[in-house]
Order: sequence, then structure tokens, then C-alpha cells
Amino acid sequence: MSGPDSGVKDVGLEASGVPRRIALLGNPNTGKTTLFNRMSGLRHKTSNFPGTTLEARVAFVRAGVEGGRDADLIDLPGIYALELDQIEARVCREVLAGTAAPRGEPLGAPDCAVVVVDAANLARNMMLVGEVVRRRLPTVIAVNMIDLAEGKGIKLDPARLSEALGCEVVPTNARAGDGVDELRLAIRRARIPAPVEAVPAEVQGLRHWAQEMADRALHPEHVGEVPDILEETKSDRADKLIMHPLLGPVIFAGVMTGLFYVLFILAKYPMDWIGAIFSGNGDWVAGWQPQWLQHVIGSGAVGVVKDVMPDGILRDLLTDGVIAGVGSTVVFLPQICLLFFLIALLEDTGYLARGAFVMDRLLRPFGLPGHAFVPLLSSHACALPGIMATRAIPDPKERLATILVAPFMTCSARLPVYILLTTLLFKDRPMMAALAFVGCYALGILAGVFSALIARRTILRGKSRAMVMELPSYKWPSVRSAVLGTIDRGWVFLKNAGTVILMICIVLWWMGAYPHVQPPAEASAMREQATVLREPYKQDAVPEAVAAEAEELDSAAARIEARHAAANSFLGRIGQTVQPVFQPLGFDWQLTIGVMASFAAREVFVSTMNVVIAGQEEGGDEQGEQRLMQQIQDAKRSDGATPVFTPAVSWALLVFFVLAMQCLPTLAVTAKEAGGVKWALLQLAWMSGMAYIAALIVYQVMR
Amino acid sequence: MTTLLSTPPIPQQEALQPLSALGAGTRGVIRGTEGLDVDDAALLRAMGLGIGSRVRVFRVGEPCVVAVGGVTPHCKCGGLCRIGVARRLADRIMVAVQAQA
Repeated sequence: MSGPDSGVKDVGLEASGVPRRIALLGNPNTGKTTLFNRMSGLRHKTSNFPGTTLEARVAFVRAGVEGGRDADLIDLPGIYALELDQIEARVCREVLAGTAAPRGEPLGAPDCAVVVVDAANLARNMMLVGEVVRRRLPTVIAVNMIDLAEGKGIKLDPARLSEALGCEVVPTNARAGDGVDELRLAIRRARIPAPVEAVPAEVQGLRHWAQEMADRALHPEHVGEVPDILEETKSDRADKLIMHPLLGPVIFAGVMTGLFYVLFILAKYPMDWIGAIFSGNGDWVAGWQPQWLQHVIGSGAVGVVKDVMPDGILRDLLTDGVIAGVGSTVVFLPQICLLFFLIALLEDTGYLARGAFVMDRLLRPFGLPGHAFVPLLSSHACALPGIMATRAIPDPKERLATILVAPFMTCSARLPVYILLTTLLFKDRPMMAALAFVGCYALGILAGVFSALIARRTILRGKSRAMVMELPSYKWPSVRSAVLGTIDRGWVFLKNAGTVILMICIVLWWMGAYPHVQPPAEASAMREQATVLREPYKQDAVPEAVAAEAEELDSAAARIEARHAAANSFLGRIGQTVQPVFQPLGFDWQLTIGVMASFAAREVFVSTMNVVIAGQEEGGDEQGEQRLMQQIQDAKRSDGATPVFTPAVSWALLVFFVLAMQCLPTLAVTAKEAGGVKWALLQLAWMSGMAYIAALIVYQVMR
Repeated sequence: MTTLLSTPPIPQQEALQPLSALGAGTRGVIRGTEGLDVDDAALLRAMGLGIGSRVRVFRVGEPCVVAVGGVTPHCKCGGLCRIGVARRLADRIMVAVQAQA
């Protein structure tokens, strides 16, 4: 291995003319990501390491303070040792060896390794340093959080460590940005380490070597003052409360309630604005000056397009397909960003590591780790951020299981459907409706955790990693890091919304709107009748009673036309064709159209039902809504006698909506995060199959 | 039984106890991790909990929280790192107790 006499020749980057690539690695909780953000700002791209779902971030940074060329800085996953049998460690080994690179990057060994170490945990961090030293790459050590260590009474001397390791050592405080410029300079001078003591090959020797190096790094005046383990701290006393068997879950529930309360309070405003910008519900801009601004923003993108484009297929495509579709997804962006921001803050305080232990007791029996709790809870708002939040789960199989079952949680898109069906079932019994609501939530959670258990016993079998986790000291969270991380994830979501989700929206819009059919004779007759009524009068002089009657006829005709168009669209025809499949569940062709349409997004069910049954999307005012509800309740099947919504059908439908996978954006995100379309297909088949069987049982028992 | 009885008495050595059985404040040295799965043992060792590591228990139960010192008595690292260990693993980490709280 490398001894004091080896690797002395300077192969600093200044001397080499090869393209620069810097690998950043370190133990978890060393502030590695904060340092990465400090060095890169926002100039980085996020991809993944091929064949894994591990996030890979690559930035272009100046390697020297002045005149340095740009270099690629690769942020490697946090690991405790290179030789562990873990995907994260494997990726680090391969990147250091040059046999793997983030997707889209050329292969090749880095010409500098920067190891970030925690000044307060030097002895342990030095083991990873030893493993890197053995690889004989030009190396720089960044001793981070040196201020925190000093606050705890541990004074280090980086120069002594540099002497002992025979390489550049730079003290940094990534949070404050201290030492970042010095680190850039050191990277230019990086050389292959020549430690005073060669790194032993076997593991026990490595541990002693690491200890020796850490001891040498202590400030000379200081040696002998620090005990091997300090006394109990405030943090330790706080832990006793926070991880208390009874109090712990109560505190966790309180923290989570607070987090989601803040989320829903704060996310409401930007969501309303985005909704308004896309669809034009412009009351909120009333009084804005100048007037044109009020008009443009108030009428929304849809209004603007309608103003400037002539009638026709392209306009419909833009307004009803593109803008409405993307708008309905992008409207979740504030919620997603805010959720990630709050979780990042909470994680940075050190609390979430403790919370994971508290929740581990609850989730472990189902084969899920404590880390799965926050993603599953987030999925109750929307499965998209929930699935993206599973990146915090270390074990790949546990992470996949969590991704697969996250959409079982009752997301906000299911609520309109639950409201419609519980109102139909329990019209004047709010207590029963509320109980049914709670039942739906419970059914979703139970289906989720039992599905996870089945998955972990079959396709995702594997011993569950018993929980071992470092509990970082409590500290104030860094807003900067949280913002940077949030922007990262927001982008991933937007890119998805702009590509896959957009395409899905266009296809679905087209299937629902085409082909255009001749309006039915009944409707044409009504319109004609309205024209006849108005005919004897001049345009401005139609008596009120006549005008009202004619208008009534026109709107009745419009409703008939809308029903007719919905029934004869591609989606309607598919609905009628596949109706026999849903026959055993008690769904007639009208319900089948609703169910088919809601495979894109559940909330579409209510508006589709309104169109198919009543011929209008919304009731408008409260009276209108009540009338619409009555129409839906009274709706009859094609035979004209049997109601569409019998109690048995309503229950079956409710169970179906709790369990079925009806959200194409979620499938798109699952495919991306799980690393394959097959997982999305499995999710679709599993959830919808379960929904079908459960609804079948409910209907057949209750009919 | 006879074979057991005929076994020569084990020479007096330090009494080993599982990490999970130690009270809060107890200090000790890890002497054995044989009951652990190879990967778990490797991860624990990388996190500082290997044979020879000096530890101090700060919380008993699920999880067991320990502070990790060095591998030699002269280590002056402060033992600021806290590691939460699931009881399932703590049951299999054998510790020679050095000082009670």
C-alpha cells in the first residue's frame, strides 16, 4: 500500500492536462451536500447512476479561485465505508475506479477525490479516508463543521493532519461558506497522499490507523484534555423525551400535524393563483391596474388563447387539452415544493432521524422501515411528492415497496369522488357520511401496508436492514440548503409535467372530445324552437318571458348535445365496449365512461359524470349544484327504470375508487423513481386488480 | 451432561453482556459481534461500532443509543457521535462492561 516513500511526485491537477473530474464523497451527516451546494450554487444537473435509483448530481465548478478551468464535480452518495455490500458503496467504488459515471457523463476515473469529514467524528471518518488513500488518487480532505467541534471542546490542527496524511487538508464551514475558496485552491494542488503510516490492508488495522490519524490531528496544546467520551449533553436529554416509547409517537404526531397544517395553509394561496392563471377565475385580480393586466391575468391562459385564436381544433387543443391538463398538474407544484422545503428543514434539525426510529416500530411488522412514514403521510396530500420523498429510504427493496403502495393513501384528488358518493349514500346523515369517509382512509392505509407486506414476502423479498442510524446533533436548519434541494425536486416535477404528463393530457382530451358527431335530432329541434320563439322580435326587444323560455330551450339542447358527444366520443365508445367487464360490479355504460376517464386522474370522475348524466360540467351556484346532485341521484340506466346509483353500486364504486390506480402522472413518476416502466405497470395491475375484486365482492354481497 | 461437566472451567475473564442489556450511562468495550449477519456487522464497524470500540450507553430500549469512542484507551475523540441501534442488533453486540453509571 502507499507508504511514506510512494506517491510523492506531484501529480497535482495544475500539472495534468486531462479534463477535470472531481469526486466528492464522505460519511452521511458530514455536510457534504451543503459543501456541494456551496461550490456549485444552482449550476448543477441531477440525473442518476445507471442501473440504480441513486440520485447523481454533477456541477461545473471553478477548480481554482482564478484562471482555473471548469471541472465536473460529482456528488457521490454518503457512505460509511467503500467496501460495504450496499448499492451506495458500490457506486462510489465504481466511480472512483472509473467504471461508472452519472448518466450522460463519460466514463473515467476522477482526477481528484475530495473527502468531506466531520471534525467532531474524526476517528470514524478517517476510516473512509484510509480507504480512499489506498486507491492512490490525488486527494483533498475537507474537515467540515470545524466550528461545531470547537464549540464542543475539540480543537483540531489541520496542518498536523495534512502532515500525517501527506495530502492537502482544508478546514471548512460549508454552512457559512468558509474555506470554500481555499478548497478550490487545494484541489488544484491535489496530490496522491503519502501518509506517514501506510494504510493497513485488513479492517482492524485500518481502524487503528484511522484512530492514529485522528489523534495526530488534535491541536498539540489540547492533547490530554479531551476524554474519549464526553458527558451527557442537552441533546442526549432531549432524545430521551423524543424517543420515549409513549411520548415519542405523540411528539411525532404533533410535529407532523404542524407540518401539514403549515403546508395546507401556505400552499392554498399559490395553488389558487396558479389555478386562476391557467383557467381564468379572475376575481382575485379585481381592482388591479392597468385594466389590460387585470384582463389578461383575470381571464387566465385559457381566456387569452380564446381571445387571440380563432375557433377550431387547435384552439380546443390548447385550451382544453394542453392548458387545462398541465394546469391541473402544475397546480400541485407549490404543495410539492413547500412539502419538500418543510421536510428538508425538519431533516436538517436532526429530528427526522429520531422520528424514523419512533415510526420504525409501527411500520416494521409490514416490512417497511421507519423512513417510509413521511413519504406515506405525504401521499395523503398527493402521491407524486410522496413517491419522490422515498429517496430518503436507504434500502432499495424497501424503497420500491413504499413507492408501489404509496398511491393507496387517500390523496386529495379522491376527495371530490368520496364527497359525491358519500352524499349519494347518506344524504341527510352527515355522521354516517363522515364515518364512511374515515372508513375510506382506513381502507386505503390497510390496503397499502398489507400490499407492502405481500410485496416484501414475494417479489421484493429480502432481509430488512435492521435500523442503525447516526443521530446527528440537533441544530438550526439551513434555509439555503432546503431551498436548493426544493428547487431541484421542483424542476424534476416540472420536467415531468411538461413532457410525459402533457402528452397523456393531450391524448385523453382528444379521446374525450373526438370524433365530433351530428347533434341528436331532439336537440336540433329544441334549438329550432328557440329560434322560432325569438323570431318575431327585434334583437333588443325580445320580451323577458320569451327570452327566458328560449334560453331554457337552448341550454337544454346544449346539455343533450354534451351527453350525446360524451357518449359518442372515442372514450364514450370505449366505455360502452368495455362495459361488460364492469357489469359484475354493477356499473352501467355511463359509470363505465366515468371510470375509464378517471384512469387519467380521479377527480375527472365527477365532471365526467356531470357531463354524461346531466350534460353540464358544473352546477354553478349552490342551487345549481343541488339540482345537479338530484339529477345524478335520479339518473336511470338505459332501460329508463333502474337507477344508476343504487346503494350497492355506490358502495362498490366507493371501494373501487379507494383502491384503484387512477392517476397517470403517478404512474409516470413511479416509472421514473423506481427505475422502470415495469414497476408502474405492476402498480397499475396490482391496485386496479385489487379494486376490481373488492368492488365485485361488495356489489355481489350487497345487491 | 458428562461431557459438559468434564469440560475444564473457563478461565476467569471479563463478563460479557449484550449491549441491549446495559443500563444508561454504562461504559464498555465491544468484544464480540459474532451473532450478527456479516453485512450488519460490517456496517456497524464502519459506523464505529466494531470489536474493540469503546462505547457508552445513553438510552436503553428501542433503539439503544450509544456514544462511540475510539478503539484505543488513549483515544481523545470526545465520542460526540450518537448511533441508534435497533434492539435486534443490540442483542447480538457483546460488551465487556467497564464502568456502571
